[in-house]
Amino acid sequence: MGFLDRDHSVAGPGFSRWLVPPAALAIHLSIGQVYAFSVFKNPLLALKDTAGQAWSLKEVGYIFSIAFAVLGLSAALFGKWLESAGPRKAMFVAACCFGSGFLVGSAGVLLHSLALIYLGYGVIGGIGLGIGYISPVSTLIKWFPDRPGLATGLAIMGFGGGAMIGGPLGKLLMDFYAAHGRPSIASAWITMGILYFLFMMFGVFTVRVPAEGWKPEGWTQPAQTSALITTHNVEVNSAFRTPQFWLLWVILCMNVTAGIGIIEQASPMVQDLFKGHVTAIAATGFVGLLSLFNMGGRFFWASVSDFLGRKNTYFIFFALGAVLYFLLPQTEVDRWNSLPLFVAITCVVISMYGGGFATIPAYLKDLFGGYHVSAIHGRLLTAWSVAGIVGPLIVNGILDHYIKNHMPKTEAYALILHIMTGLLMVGFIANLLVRAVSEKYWMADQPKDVAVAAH
Amino acid sequence: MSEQKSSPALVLAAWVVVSVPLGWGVYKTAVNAAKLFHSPPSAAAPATTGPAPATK
Repeated sequence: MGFLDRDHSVAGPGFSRWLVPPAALAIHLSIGQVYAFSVFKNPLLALKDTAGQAWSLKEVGYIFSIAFAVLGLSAALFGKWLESAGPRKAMFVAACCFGSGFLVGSAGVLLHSLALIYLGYGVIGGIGLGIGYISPVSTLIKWFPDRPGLATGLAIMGFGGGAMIGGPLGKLLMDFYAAHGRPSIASAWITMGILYFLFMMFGVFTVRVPAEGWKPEGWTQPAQTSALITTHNVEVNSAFRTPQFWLLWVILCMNVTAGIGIIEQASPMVQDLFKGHVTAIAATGFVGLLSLFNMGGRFFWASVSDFLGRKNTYFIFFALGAVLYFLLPQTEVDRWNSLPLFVAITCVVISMYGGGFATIPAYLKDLFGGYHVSAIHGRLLTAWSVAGIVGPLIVNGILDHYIKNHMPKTEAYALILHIMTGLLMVGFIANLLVRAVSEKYWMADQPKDVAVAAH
Repeated sequence: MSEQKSSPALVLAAWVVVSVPLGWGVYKTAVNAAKLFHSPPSAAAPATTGPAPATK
């Protein structure tokens, strides 16, 4: 298995760095499937064991929750290993875990064993998600020191795009197998496990790390252009102790929590705020539109951040986002009655939600250097896990309270969106407090150049 | 370290490999998103009821 070692994946002279983003995309387009898990929810709920018992919505919901919890944990735990093992080995492990997670899960479906599905799709697949998510980040940054935002934005855009593939693919396969008298979910999962494994192996075979001292043709590392862009490196354990790490943790957490405030309730929200004007079918179209902006925003904002600077980009997210979230409830049918404005505002804020995910690796690289950026990114993703719990708690808690007390749901949405405005202002302050990392955290024995530092 | 210069065709092929499934997914999502603009207003139906029939 020496082929997988970092030493065997060093690019030769003449290797085009433009082969690396497709390798990263192959991983992210695959693991992004997890966002489309809901396509299996109703078919899983319809399954019955030999005694005629079916699973509850809550039990099925745990599959997705476990996968996401394990994503955050494994990204945090395996990040440092990834930096020494190299991207190829990490991508291979991710492909094995993600693919076999489907296979173990399909056995669980056939045996009607929820525990086996939790183990397969949730735990094993979740490890694949976590390692896969961070595996290409530092490699891309090392290949694109001139455009780190563009490079990581491309990869993380793939995670958004993965849901767009995983949803229709899952449905297509289930329909196909059902029409041929085969167990639809289990057969679909076996097929998806194999397909995703093969697709991720394309990334494994394609990815390379730059040779020692490599830099883009004609590019020279600029002399310090901003106090926030370091030419030094910070080791992951040291980074964990800096205030900058925790400020970025708050920034990511606030941005994601606010985004979840809309994503979590997008379909019912548009129908409730424009009662009588938006059908359930149109609402599913609205959700699709948000997915497109979520994905596009990842590429757009991360690329733009190369020119605006990371701190300014997040200032836009938080300042513009706070204004837009505050205005959003005003667009409802009893006030401004403007569905186009509602749709336009939500599309912009969801693009910034995606942009927040995609720009954070480059922000980390600016502050901590490229040496351990994947590992640091892995630990920062715990903010995502926390937001994934806090966001739905706020949204569902408030909605439940209003429904229970027979209060108008439109007022609940206004309260939710105003709380999200407050969270964005917290993010704004955290971003304002970001300063250059103190010299005492710099690695003493590492060369300044990122590509050199990689080996 | 003995690799040849990457040919533009190879780079293009790598991008095609990832662009085709992504393009398919985006197309499917765009078709779904179009329902927002093509679906007629409902007659004050409750927000969380089942999907209204497509009439286009």
